[in-house]
Amino acid sequence: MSLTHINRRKFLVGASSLPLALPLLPQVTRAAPASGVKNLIVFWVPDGSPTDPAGSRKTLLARHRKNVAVITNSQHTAYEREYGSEEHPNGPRTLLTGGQNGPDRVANGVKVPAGRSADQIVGSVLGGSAIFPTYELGSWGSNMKDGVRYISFESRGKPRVPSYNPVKSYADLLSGLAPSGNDADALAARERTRRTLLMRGSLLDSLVPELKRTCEAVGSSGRDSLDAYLTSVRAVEKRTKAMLEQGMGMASPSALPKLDNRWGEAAFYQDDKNFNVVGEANMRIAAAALAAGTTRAITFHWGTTGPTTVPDWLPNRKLKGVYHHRLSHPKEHPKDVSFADRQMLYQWYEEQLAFLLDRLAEIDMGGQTLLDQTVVLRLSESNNNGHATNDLPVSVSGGSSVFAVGSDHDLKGRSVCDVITAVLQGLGIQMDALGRPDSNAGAYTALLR
Amino acid sequence: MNLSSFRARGLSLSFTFGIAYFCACTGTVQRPDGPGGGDDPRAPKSPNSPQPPGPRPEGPVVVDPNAEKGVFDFHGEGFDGLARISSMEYRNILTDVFGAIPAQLSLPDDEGDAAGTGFVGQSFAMTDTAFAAYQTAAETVAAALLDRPLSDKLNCDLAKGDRACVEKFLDTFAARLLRRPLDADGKSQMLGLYDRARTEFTATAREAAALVIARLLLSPQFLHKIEPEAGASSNEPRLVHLDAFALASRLAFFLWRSGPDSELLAAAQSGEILKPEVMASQARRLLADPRAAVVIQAFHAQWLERGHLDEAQREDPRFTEALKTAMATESDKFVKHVVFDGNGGLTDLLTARYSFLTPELAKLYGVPSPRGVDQPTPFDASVKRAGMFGHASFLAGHATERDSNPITRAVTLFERVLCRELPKVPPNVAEMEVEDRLSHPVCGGCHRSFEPLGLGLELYGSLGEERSTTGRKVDGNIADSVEIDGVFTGSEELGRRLLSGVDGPYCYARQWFRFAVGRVEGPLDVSSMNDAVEAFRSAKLDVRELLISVVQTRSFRTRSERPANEQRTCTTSI
Repeated sequence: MSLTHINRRKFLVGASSLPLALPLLPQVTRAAPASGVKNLIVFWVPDGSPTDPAGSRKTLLARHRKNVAVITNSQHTAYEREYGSEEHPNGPRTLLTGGQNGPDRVANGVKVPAGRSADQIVGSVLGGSAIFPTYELGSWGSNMKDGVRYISFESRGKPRVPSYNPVKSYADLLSGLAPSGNDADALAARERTRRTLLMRGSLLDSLVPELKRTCEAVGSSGRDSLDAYLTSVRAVEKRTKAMLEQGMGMASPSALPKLDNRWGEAAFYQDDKNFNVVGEANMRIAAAALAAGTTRAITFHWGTTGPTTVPDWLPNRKLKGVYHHRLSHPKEHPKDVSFADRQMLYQWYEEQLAFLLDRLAEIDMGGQTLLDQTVVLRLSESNNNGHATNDLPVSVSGGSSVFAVGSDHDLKGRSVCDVITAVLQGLGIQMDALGRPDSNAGAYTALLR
Repeated sequence: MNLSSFRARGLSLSFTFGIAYFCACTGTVQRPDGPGGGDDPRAPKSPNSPQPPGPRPEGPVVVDPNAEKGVFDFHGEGFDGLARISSMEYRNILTDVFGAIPAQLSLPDDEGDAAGTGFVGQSFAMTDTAFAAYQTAAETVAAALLDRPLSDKLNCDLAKGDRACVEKFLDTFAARLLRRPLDADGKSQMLGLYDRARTEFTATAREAAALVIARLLLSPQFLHKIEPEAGASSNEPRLVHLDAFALASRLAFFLWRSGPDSELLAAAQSGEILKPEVMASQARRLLADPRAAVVIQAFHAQWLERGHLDEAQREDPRFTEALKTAMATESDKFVKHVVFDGNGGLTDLLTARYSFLTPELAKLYGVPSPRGVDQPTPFDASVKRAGMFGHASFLAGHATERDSNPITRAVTLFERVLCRELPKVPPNVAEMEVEDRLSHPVCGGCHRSFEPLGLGLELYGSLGEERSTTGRKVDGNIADSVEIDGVFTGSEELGRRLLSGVDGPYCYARQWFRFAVGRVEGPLDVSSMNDAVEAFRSAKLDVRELLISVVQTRSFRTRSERPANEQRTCTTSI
């Protein structure tokens, strides 16, 4: 696989999409003028990290020190308010929604309206003209067998399902792109892509008459499902059209990640031994997609909380075959896996973050790097001493013209929602607070320059 | 049958979630003793309140099969939409129709069975990400089919993509894919797509052919389980009869997790499938096919929560991956043998004194090395083990890293084998030893009602090995489970106790009913369930006869329709 350089492309962002987004988002708008930071990546790691996360993170991210703000002593207050701290599988869904993942309700005397996750807010405000306003991907290994848990929510009860299959991610985000240049090969490739996209559009058009006929047959109870089908077709149609209008000449195929088709097999990407390979492929795809502008907001999931994934890809033999419980419940299994062994796993996640930052930093966007235009929010729903919700391992990277990176921030127990709100503000989104009213104190503005 | 009681219990479905999970984390389960639970007078008394366990009420008790991820995680009674075919079904249909299909299919991953491991968590509605995945998969399949020698079935070279051959392709395969004939309008539109691609987009013949194949695979009729009606039920206006093709599809999806084959489609075309006796004979035919064995094995794996074995970790060095595989294989082979080669009955499933062992598993069980892994190994009288509750896949799957876990064994038996319901575990309960929680003034009443089910299996350790001592001072003395009360020791005694009562066989039949119709039963299903149970008993608990009776029930042959005032028209929806 190789990814060396991606040319800068300019895309229409913000202004043209705003009229569409506004009716749905009375309280969330794009500030003017727009900041130079226009992309978001949420880099989510399950089950936190062992004690001393800040020290190890600072070491591991040393080469990116000027681009990283290490944040200590933040609290996952919304999770505690919603569920207490025992039911840790619910931690992720409360993280980016600030606990507004349930129905409109009054909880403990506090009015909690249903809401959506921060990445979806970014996608709806900044990603209107992108082919995928948001995209969810990651590496989950064998967690698929244990069912899925989400961090990104369009609205209450509507989670966004990540793509764990790198071949699918590639097909969605990058396969419709055609090379730039005026040589014969590039022209021919663009023509082939154009024709393919036109035929796809024609195919999607042809589904509608069948839907109408089918609707008559299914009775009332099936019509909601056909509505959902039609909505899905329209969404894909819109993307196809956008790809046709914007995708021509976006990026050179030689600059895109090269994948082995075998990686598209579930047996491959759900194998814990390939957790690292799949993650790396999807990180490269994420960077290329942001560079091409096919999406604006990405959530990257490394597994899921309470994972059944075992870190078999690591060289540490002591961790072979060891799964969630023995790794992340050290109080219950104090002798099973040493602190140093566990530390190795979480250090590995920090190395992946550094790898992603490397990919973003090496892409030239014309005077800026992609990392300059992107803010990477590293989150976890807990720290790793019995799923405690204090001192979450949080960092903010990139977007150095807007964010106070290169320094450390002690939140002194403030909600992690306040960090997320500051990130949204840094992206130029006018929003005072995120999440349950009793779980935030407004944006942590020290994060902004 | 007390319908109001049935309905009230059914309404409390969602409140059982979490108990088994919580047990796994803490090793203890207690009766709710805070506000809103247990005997607290402040507890809400609405029908939605969790019910403390007690004597079996009149009529069947409805438990929530969705209570724990991974088992019977189908859509409940409230969902009346059109389910998507699962990724497993997608692959099975294409494999049945075309033979081998590309391994790299980019199908939606949101169903939980992308790896083909089960039938859990099937999503209902289409989403944009799922549709995009189907689009990619359809293009992949289309490209592969053009390179496949289908000429023996088509008498033309599809790879060349000429229009007549594409039309022949539709005539030959569309009905199998769509599970009903492609009507003239549909065919005309697909060929129109071919023509448009050729003329408007200057596509090659091959590209145009690929487009039509992909179009077929993106059809709502292929991706959704469309179930047109053939008229309202005569005595229940909320129910409508499925038409013949929908009924054939439902049968094939139930027993094969695939679409109907040509013979089943022919029975639908002639309308014969609507006759109960034809339905029964078709079900027998499908059951004789190896594809049915896979489904029946999967049912039992989900019923007894085989997924826990996949995740199991043990400190015991004997617990190797090979042994784990042998445990799962034992249960699969055993189920297949009992249902298809043995007497086919629940009696053997619960009490048979033989199994299918590898040398490693035989050593664990303390029996002589087997003659061969496909030969049943009999257990002599000294072996205290019989039936599926004596399988290591069940016992080791419900254990901790170092020891047995009587609570998780008990909860599974209580909820899935007896179809009883436990209240939700209150938060922040303290851990207690078994003796303490059974005698606890608040917790004991609940725990004594179900935990002995696990204590009676304390004969088996963390790996499912037989052992002589547990260090615990309690036994499997079931106190409040009505029919099977009394002391028992070991899997064979448990199996016999369950078979001697009504609850065990009834619950087993109920679980199959849910598996067949893909949802939790509701009040309108009572007569169908009772019909199936009666047939099951008459057939001496023969599993195949149970399945054949289930597919003849009214519930299997109908679907519900919304009341008139909630109905929508196509004009407004599409």
